[in-house]
Amino acid sequence: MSVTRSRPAAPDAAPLRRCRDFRTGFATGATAAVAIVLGLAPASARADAAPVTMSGVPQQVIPVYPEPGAPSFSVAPGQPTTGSAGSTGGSSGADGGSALDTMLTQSWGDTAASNATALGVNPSALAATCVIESGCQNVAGSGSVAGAFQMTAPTYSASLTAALAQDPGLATGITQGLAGQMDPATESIAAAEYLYQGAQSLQSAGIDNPTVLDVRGYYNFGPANGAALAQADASATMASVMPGVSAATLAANGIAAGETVGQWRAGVAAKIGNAAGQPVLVG
Amino acid sequence: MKVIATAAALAALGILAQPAEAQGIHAVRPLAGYACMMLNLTEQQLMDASARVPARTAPDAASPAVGWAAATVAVRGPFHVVNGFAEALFPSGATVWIESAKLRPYRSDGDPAARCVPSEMSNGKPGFAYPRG
Repeated sequence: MSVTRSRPAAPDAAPLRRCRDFRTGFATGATAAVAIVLGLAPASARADAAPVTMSGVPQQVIPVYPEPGAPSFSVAPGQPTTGSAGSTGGSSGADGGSALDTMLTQSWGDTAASNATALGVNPSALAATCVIESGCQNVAGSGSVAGAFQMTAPTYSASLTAALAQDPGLATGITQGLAGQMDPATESIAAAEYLYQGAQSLQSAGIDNPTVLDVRGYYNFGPANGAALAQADASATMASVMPGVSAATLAANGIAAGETVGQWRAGVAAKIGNAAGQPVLVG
Repeated sequence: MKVIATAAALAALGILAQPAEAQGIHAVRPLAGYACMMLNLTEQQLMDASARVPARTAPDAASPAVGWAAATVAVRGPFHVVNGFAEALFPSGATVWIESAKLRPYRSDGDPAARCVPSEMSNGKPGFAYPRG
């Protein structure tokens, strides 16, 4: 699903930075106001006795160092300026926010994001999973695979049980039994728990702060291969990093002969944008 | 509105996107005194989350596990086995011991021309280079 909502290109990083700027500006403004009331402002800051007219238009600021993730501007001196949405990478134009946007446009998206947070999982990581697996659509799959997160029945059951043991409060309102696979809000609990377990497994293999991309490797190729992938040089071939996986199995998983780790990472990132580089665990 | 609220919540949780380039570590130089081996598991076992191989602090099955071994392991060369455990290097840089029966010489099933060289990576941690030929 394509989401064309207008929002900053780097939703996760930018708001925090802006919040800090706002606080600083607020504090500075308040201090200046107090200083003026007390008559402490420097002479240059006091109001002029007579009106001053400007000579020409104000000098325009021409950006020299573009802020990553911020909109890019093309400035022609003396002309009205317009902004264009920045690109944060990913051939689809997707970013971490748009994966999250895609999930949040679903009726169950907000609940899924809350479930992820309750289990210590980044909602963007959960959103990236449903974007890749089903486009966040509640669809059937082959065999026992089903739902927006396309989990197999055994993995769904085991993960849901583990999640509810960790946070019994999540049991409120869930769909009982395997029917929960086709209730995205319920399946999101199991999917978030599975991501949590994957990230923990990678941490146990020496990966400090597993990203969505790292856990994707775990998800697709198992814990030992996932750990190897997370530490691999991008120029290495997928087959060399996962030596115990046959060419036939790689092909069945969509990995072409000679495909590098970097190419695989780029392929995943093209689907989920910069959510790929976000940490899975929070808190 | 809920998008904004969620974005604000993410910011409050300190979730910051890491640039995709951060994933791009590369091998800097070979690590002397180590050789590559791989886990002696079947393809099916490698995919199984319950079939993990522990890396221990000492050559003893009762010693604590530091964590789980990855598919490729940097072992001390020459091969150093004590009490059925091979000395190896964990990605954190710590010396660990892995059951030697769970290891075999490196050979890629999917890319037989690939070689494996334990290496210092650009992030300063131990890792691997995988030259071909």
